[in-house]
Formats: sequence, C-alpha cells, structure tokens
Amino acid sequence: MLDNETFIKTITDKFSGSVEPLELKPAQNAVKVSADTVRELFEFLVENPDMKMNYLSSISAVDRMESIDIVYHISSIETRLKLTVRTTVAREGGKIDSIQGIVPSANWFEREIWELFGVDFNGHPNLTPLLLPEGWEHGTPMLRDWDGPDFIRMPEVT
Amino acid sequence: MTEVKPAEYSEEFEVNMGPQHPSTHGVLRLKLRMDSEYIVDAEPYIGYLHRAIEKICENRTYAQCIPMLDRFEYVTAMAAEEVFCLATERIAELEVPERAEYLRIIALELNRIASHLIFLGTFSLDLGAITPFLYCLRERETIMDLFEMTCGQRLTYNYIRVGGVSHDIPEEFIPLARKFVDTFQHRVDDYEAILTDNPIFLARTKDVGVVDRDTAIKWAASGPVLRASGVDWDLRRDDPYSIYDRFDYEIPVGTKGDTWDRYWVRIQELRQSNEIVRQALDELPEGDIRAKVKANFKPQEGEAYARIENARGEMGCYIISDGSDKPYRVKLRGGSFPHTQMIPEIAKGLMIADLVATFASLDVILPEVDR
Repeated sequence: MLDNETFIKTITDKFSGSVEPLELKPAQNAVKVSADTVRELFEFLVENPDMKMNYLSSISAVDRMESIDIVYHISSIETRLKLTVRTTVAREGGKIDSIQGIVPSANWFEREIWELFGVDFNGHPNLTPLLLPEGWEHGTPMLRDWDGPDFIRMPEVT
Repeated sequence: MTEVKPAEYSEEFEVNMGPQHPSTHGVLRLKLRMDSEYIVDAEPYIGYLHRAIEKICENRTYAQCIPMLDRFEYVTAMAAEEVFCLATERIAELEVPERAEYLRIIALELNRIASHLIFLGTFSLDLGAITPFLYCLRERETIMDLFEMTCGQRLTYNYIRVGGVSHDIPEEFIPLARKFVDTFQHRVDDYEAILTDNPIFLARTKDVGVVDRDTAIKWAASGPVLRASGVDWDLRRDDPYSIYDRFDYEIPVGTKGDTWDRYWVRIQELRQSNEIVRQALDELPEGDIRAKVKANFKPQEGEAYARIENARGEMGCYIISDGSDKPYRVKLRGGSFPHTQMIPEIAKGLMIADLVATFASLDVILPEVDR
C-alpha cells in the first residue's frame, strides 16, 4: 500500500508540468492540476491498481473573485487513500472537462456547479437546472458578488 | 422482476410521481416512463426544498451557521452539527474536551437510532404495515425526551458547538438513558418478530431493487446502502473521527444489496448503536464540556473536508476559512444526494410498487439533497 508521500509523488511524476503538490493547512493529501488535465488525471487515479480512487465524496466550486476553484474530494474504498484535487477556471465563461464519464456520480455535482456558478462542463450529457426554481432568471447565485431579489446581507458583527 | 415485459397492447406513457406523494418522504418529483406497470425510465427532479443553506452560511458567523445546519438534515440534526464543527475544529486546531466527546457520541448514536426508527416506521408504512410505525415512534419519543432535557429542543438541537457542546446533561438523563438502552434491545427483537421473516414482507423486499457492489461504488452510495451491497466500509472505522476507536461494535454488511438487505443492515445498526451508547454511558468522564472559544471566534486561514458516518451515509462538510469570523465557503454533502441520483439506474424494470419499496429502503430525505 502506498504511503501518502509516495502517493502524491507518483501522481506528480506521472503528470509533471500539469500536476503539482499543494500544501494546505491543516495538512492533507492535495494536488493542484491545470484544468485541461483533469480528465486524464481522474482516468489515472481510478485505474491505477495501487490507488483505485473510485469513491467521489464531493465536487465543490469556490468563487475566488478573480477565478473559480473546482475542488474534488475523492478517496478509495479499497486502499483507503484520500485526495483533494484543486483546479482553477476562469470566472467568466469558465470551461472544464466533465469527469462523469469516468466517475458517474460526478453528474449531479457538476450540474449543480454549472447552475450555481456558471462553469461549463465539456462532455456533460445533461446540463439542465437542478436546484433553482423553474424559470429562474437571476443568474448564478453562488457567486460572491451576486445580488438578487430578496437577498439581504447580514450586517457586520463587531 | 427486473425485466421489462412489453405487453402487446400497451404503449409507453409518462406519469408523474410527486412532488407531493406519500412515499417520497418530502418533495421529490419522479418522472416515470411506464410500459403497463413496469418502469422503463425514471428521472428525478429535485430542488423543491432548496433553501440556499450554503449561501446563507457564507453570510453568517460560525456560531450562527449551526442552526442552519439543523435544517440541512433535520432527521439527524446532531450529525449535521457534528460534521460542521469537526471541519471547523480541524481548521482552528481546537481540542475538544474528553467529556464533550463522549456527550457528542451519545447524542450522535441516539440520533442515529432515532433516524433508523423513522426509517423503519415509514418503510413499513410504505409496504402497508402500520403497526411498526407506532412502535418505532414510541421508542423515538424517549430519545426526543432525552434531547429535550439536554438542550431544550426535540428536532433542531443547536447542541454540538465548535469546541464542545452547549449544555451538560441534567441529572435525570443518565437513569432514563440507561433504562432506554436496557429495554431497547428487546424492542428491536419485537420489530424483527413483526417484519424480518414475515412472508408478505419478504415477498415485497427480497430481490427487489438490487444494487450490486460495483453500481453502489460507481454511484458513490454510502452508509447502509453501500454496506447492504456487500462493501465493508464505515467511516467511523475507516476514516476515524472523534473517539469512535474506543468503542467496541460491529459493522453489519449485507450480501446482495436488495431492499431486504438494506432493511437488515439498519436493524443491526440499531443494536450496534445501542451498544455504543451503553459503553459511552459507562465510561463518561467528568470535566469540561467546551473548549475555550472566544465569543468573536475567528479560525485561522485554512480549509478542511470533514466526513462522518451518518445514518444516511457519508455526510461531508467542506469549509474554507479566510481568517474572518465567517466561513468563506461551506459546501455540504449528504448521503442522500448520490442516492437520489442513483434512482434512474435502479428503477429500470421495476414495478411501480417495488419502486416505492426500493426508494423507501434508500432512506432518502430531501432537505439533505436540496440544501
């Protein structure tokens, strides 16, 4: 079984140039990947017999104001490894490859991000509204500077 | 009954199940394409309970977020609070006092029992058995009383706080909890006597809605649904959090992944959770119930994904802190979200009555899906 250090090193060696280790606080297994390598990286992670990262916990999008981060939390039921994968896409018209062909459970997570953050997923079969009310016309509400009807920001607590 | 049988005279038609339907346990709409009584295709439509909890949390301080989390998963609100506090404590590197950890475990496991009782009651209701529902709610009532005497609430507790818990248990808690633990194991025998080998129950559940091992993993099923499919995976043991390593309990695993297996796994979990509560009550130490947390709590910069084994599977919370008093981003993941997503895959070829049984056995609650 791989230890955490070799695990990260195997991935970064395999994709040198497009995947690099990511230091997070508190410490965890994490890599940063360029948006155009996400698909290949996941193919590798799922199929590599030492890793078998077959269990997707969640996909989150984070609005960083100048760009949007997409963060994948995956783990393996067989090898019990955990990994955080982070990638960055443009805030306006951001595009990234869908991984639902490799990890089917990504489908709704990606749909949700498309709907709430406006990030496009190449190769996703069904990018249709998921959570918001029918006929919603007020844009992508999870962006931090979003403003819409009935939205009130809490006053600062001092 | 997994094959679609085209009847000569029939043609495909569409029918809506929900959003208001007794068996959807909330507001879920399933668009079913039917061929006579068999399902050709099912498509779930969610979002009827979307309250934008993630957005609201970005706009609240950490302490103010916790009541929102109760609304995220109201059947096991303790778990929702725990996962949020766990992520926050990891970022802030807070140590939770020993006694608080034990109180949390007692609350979490009692809450799991309460949740599985709701499952058992509504599941048997969906199958047409009314008696177990009454029995289940009777036992659940004691748990609600225990919570009420501890934190004043019966459903949305706001009990687990960052760094500990809000109140210590009152004097009368321990005797009542012990009485509950001692009688509950016999109650589970009663439920099993009604259901487990009941021929009608078996006819409705055996080999119905089979989710095999690969399908379960592929669709990120978790909790009892995953274990019923024969995957030995429990986050309490496999990704340890809190103090679960101090207790002695078994993890029940099913074989086939049919509706009956999912029922059986939950029944066994009732017994195991009861055992954990018993051990926690025995070992409960004295001491503080909350670490020192400033009123204006600001964790340092950082990010953490915490996940716990909830009654409905993996409950995850991803928090990013930018060092201010409000979380920069809160992402919530409930076990029900992937389970709902899985419905088209398992519904094909089922009869509509079997879909009701299968869906009930997934134990989906919609507030957790829609957030």
